[in-house]
Amino acid sequence: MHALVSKYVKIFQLGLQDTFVYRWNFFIRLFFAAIPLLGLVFYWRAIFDSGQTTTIGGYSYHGMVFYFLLTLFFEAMLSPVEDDWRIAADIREGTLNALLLRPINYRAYRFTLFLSYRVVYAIVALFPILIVAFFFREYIDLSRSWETYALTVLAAIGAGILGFMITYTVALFAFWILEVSTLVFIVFSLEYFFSGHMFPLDIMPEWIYRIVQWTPFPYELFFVIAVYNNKMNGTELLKGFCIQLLWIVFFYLFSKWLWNRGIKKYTAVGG
Amino acid sequence: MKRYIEVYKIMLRNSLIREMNFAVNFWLWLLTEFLWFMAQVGLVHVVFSFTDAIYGWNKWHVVVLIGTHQLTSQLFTAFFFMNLANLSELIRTGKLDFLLLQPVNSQFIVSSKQFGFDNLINALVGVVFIIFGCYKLALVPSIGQVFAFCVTVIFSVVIHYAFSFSLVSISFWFVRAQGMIYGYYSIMNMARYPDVVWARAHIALRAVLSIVIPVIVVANVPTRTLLGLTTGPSLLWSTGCLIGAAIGILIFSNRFWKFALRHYTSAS
Repeated sequence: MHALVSKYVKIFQLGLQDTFVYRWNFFIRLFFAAIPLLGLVFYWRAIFDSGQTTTIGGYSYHGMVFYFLLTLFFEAMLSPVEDDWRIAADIREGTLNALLLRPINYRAYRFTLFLSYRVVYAIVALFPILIVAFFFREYIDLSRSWETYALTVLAAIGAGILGFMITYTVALFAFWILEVSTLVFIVFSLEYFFSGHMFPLDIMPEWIYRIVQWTPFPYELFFVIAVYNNKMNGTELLKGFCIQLLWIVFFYLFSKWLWNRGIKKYTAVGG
Repeated sequence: MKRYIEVYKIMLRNSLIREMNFAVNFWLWLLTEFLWFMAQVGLVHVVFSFTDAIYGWNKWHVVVLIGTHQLTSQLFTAFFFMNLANLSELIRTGKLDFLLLQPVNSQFIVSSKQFGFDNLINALVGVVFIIFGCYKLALVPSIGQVFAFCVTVIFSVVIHYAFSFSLVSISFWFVRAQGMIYGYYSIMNMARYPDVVWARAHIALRAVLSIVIPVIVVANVPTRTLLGLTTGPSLLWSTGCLIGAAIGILIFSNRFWKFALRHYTSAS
């Protein structure tokens, strides 16, 4: 057990060093992610100014801007960056051979690396996010009960794991298709729209929102913010956590199945 | 000039052969981009369920704006995008050397080797929405307006191209361009807002977003030209910004490319 843990701690450390080289890349990404906030602030200001109501789908103007600040924060903390390209490259370029020879589980190996990327990203992101937060300080409202904070952390951990599982599953298609970028982009656009990145999902017409709730995408981001904003009560909250867990299990099993099939084909080709 | 047309014809043919080899990929991309656009239209629908108009822009004005953004960005994507996305790969693998040896302008060959036919279809989807928006507005633009629209669309495509080309040229220093491509999208997404929403912004910010990173004018000027919308900043001023920005950024992108190339040769 001790050996097992120390093995993955080692991988984690390697991941830290490897990713630190790309810290500028992270920094640029975060910079570009923050820029649209500027447009969103003015766009929603105009919508609220010309609308007949002071709230839209339960969001005040300040609440709306805070929503987008929260998407920026949680995406910086949780969403996989380039993990899919690296996994696909492992498969395509044969780096996987060396990894298969070692007594490690590839998924666990990748997940450990994902965690270390997250740590580096969070550290790199911290300072710029504080600047953004200072700039938009009038919109920020952090007064929540400790229960809400605890539940938010739980939802966020689930969202991170789900995000990784989806990315990992998609990348495994590299066993069959040479260029996974089309697939990656399709999944990315679904995530972009249905994770709540573009706008809070609960301002959509009720029937669409009901359907979207059953897809995995809201549980990568929107769910976390909804929990934080106390948008869900008892049963609804429980339902949300259950759906999130179900999707994690689903992608876990699906990726396992893909891996088993893919690895047969892979070794057969590699001789 | 004639030689460039010849070269471009050959590259077009190669692109077509390439697309036909990856038919599934072609349809998937087509579908994805189409859904992406429909999502934008969906968002407009959601927004306008809360208000009738944003400072004089009603739902169908904004639909025409989104259609125009679709048209210009998809035209840009068709002609240039794949090439720009591949640039960092060319640098990393050293394949760029091969392109630089060709007896044509290096920026030309790097920017236009591949053509995306699926994007041309999606550009037409944009046109359909522009026409539909005009129909809903009960508006028939004059020949002059349509002509001015086409001219301003060309300037917009130039801006899309020059702006993203400058961004990906940075990959000579930072090897991964994926972040840059992401930057292009996330900045240009702001072009879909009616220019009136920026009225509250600080004058300096408005100036920067009209001239240096011209997201305020890039889709708004063609739209307003076509619709004859007079609300918001003076159309003459905005058009001036559009043309000035297009020329300015194009020249900058070329200078920056040459500067970056010098860095490249000295690095290897």
